[in-house]
Amino acid sequence: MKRAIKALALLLAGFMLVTAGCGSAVTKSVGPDVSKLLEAPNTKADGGKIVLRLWTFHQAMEYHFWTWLAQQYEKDHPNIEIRIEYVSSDDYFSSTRLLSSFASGQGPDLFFVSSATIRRFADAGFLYPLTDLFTAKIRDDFYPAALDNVTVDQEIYAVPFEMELLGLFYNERMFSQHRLDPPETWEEMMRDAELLRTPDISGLTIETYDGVFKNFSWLPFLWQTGGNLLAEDGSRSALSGSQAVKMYGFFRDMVERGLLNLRPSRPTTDIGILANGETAMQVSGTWNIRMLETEFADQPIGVVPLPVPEGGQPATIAGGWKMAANRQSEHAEEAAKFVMWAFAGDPGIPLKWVSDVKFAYPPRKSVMEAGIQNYRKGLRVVFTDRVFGTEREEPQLPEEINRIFSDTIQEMLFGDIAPEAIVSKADKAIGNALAQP
Amino acid sequence: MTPKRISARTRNEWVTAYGFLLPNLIGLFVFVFVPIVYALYVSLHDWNALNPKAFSGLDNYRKLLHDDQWWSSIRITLTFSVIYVPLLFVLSLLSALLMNALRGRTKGVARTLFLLPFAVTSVTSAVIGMFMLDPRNGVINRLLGLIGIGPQPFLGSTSQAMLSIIGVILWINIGYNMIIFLSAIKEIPRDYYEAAGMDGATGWKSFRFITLPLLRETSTFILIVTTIGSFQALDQILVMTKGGPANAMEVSVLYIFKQGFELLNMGYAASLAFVLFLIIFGLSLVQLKLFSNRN
Repeated sequence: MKRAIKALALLLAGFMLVTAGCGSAVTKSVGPDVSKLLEAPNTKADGGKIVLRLWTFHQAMEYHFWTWLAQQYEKDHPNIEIRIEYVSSDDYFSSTRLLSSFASGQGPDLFFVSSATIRRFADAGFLYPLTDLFTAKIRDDFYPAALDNVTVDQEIYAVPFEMELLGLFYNERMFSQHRLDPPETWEEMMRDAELLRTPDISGLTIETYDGVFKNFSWLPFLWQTGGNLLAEDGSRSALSGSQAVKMYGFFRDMVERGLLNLRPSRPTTDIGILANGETAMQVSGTWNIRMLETEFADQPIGVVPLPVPEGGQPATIAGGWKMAANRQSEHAEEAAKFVMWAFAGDPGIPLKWVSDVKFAYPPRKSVMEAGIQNYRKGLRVVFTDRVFGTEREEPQLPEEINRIFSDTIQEMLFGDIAPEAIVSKADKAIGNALAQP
Repeated sequence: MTPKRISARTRNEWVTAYGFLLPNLIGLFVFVFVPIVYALYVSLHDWNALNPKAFSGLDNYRKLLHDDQWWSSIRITLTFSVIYVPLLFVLSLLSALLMNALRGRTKGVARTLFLLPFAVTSVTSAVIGMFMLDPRNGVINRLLGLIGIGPQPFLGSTSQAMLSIIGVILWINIGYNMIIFLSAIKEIPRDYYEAAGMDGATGWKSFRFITLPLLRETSTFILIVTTIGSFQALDQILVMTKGGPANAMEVSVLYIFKQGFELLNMGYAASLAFVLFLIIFGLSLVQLKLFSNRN
């Protein structure tokens, strides 16, 4: 008996040790120099220079772009020093770090905003209005939708410098083995997922994890049905009476048939899910192109526009970061000048970002013209010829509405209430949210 | 009536005692008492953390009465607590009894190994838990496959997410609670067991009539601390499911976090936090009352 107890205790203890030891298997991400982070927010500079602090979450080549940009500006403006400070993407995307820094008066002079955050920051008075710096010539150079996306109550508050679009990436080898063409309609997408999935390979991967990217991934499918979350003027819900229920019904069906990858091994912004053979199709964005051209160059991966429902309209979503200046900063005016110099002046700078550093579409006509050859090779041509032009800008929705939409997707994927009930519940919730002062 | 005289020695002892307590009392005042009072103050305001606060009286408290998601989060928290606390209590006690039965060098090694997971941070434990519970490549599904059970969705299922997360939190916390139980068991004089043995009571009877009653104070402590802990569980849930799937794991603290830091309803979040504080405070008082009866 004592031996048995001893053996059992050792077995349990061993299991706990082994599993505790798994901690060492966690991969550490490589970030910029930690000592630099600890210096922030040090705004002192030698020789009475004005210091502008720029917060970025980018890494590797993208991080180096900002340091290069700072050096270029400092060359032309010897009285200015631009300090690039790294903030983790988790903190950046959730805005917690930015909000706490603004609340404590320690906010950066230059930072990035998204469609999801621009209105919130503008309403709180943290964005320097750039309207007066946008001459008629500059305005004319930006695509109208891109400019609308940085305009809040008639004021331009940021400069867009990239447009990222969603498409459907697929494994060409799997499709050719089954003699299938990539899907153009929802029905074909379901049929292909059914034929290609195996116990180890899921049919289709679309973001299922909570976060900003989930809404970004699912909104185009809602738009394709003709549905939307809010009416044009933003005063009421547009879900009721629309075809939105079609989307919830279709993808619920896919879940019930086991065709969707409900727990992807990583966020679906990462094309590695498809490249590593976890799925046959993956909804993801243009930012993956560079990775597919380099790291996964040997992988047979193709891309097509997002499939469309019967009778629906082709649609994808255009996202991307915009640069803003902190209105509360002592040097707000100088910060605003930097933003305009970087992304509203010489097309060479934004072109370097969208073609050399990463692959994205520019929100400016002159940049598009200057870099047109970059958009006509490999998978890029699919986005240029078949996806670009069908995009809608990511909407500036209040956080409550974002959360309601996110909940409907969760309910569709993991819940059991009927699609009609999901839509009517969301419709009511949006009405309540809009009714609040 | 003559005032009671305090001797110089007693006074010195008091000074020494309060001297030792002072750093903790200052910490409690600054980091616990002040935030609680400030949360109460904020809860009476409409505030988005960026603009100035606007006094709104009891509006936030009225709002929470009709907030279905808040009550749903309370229900999820209670369910979590009702499953987690007894499981942690029973498994910690059983582990302690098992350790107590060990003799020789094995004892020290096994005790250290049991306590080791407690040294893992909560976020790391959550990440490890996600690896182990991964439906496609996770070790748990591989093990289930060996005994003929098909792959389970675990964190991707509204019905399995809670038990999966509880499993991870138990793995981290059993060792610590086991050590507390073990030290209390060691305090029980062996004479009691020997006397009971002479009267024919061994095994279950000596556990039921000697060990368990003499562990009452330790049990009270563990139950109160783990109940409070279960109401405050956030780290692992946030990392592993962010409250999903379909809000199935949106516990109260997570709901407060989302209201405060995602929706920027700081005043409302403070009112929810204050109500949760009162619930935990009330539950702790009830537990203390129930278990402090020495008879």
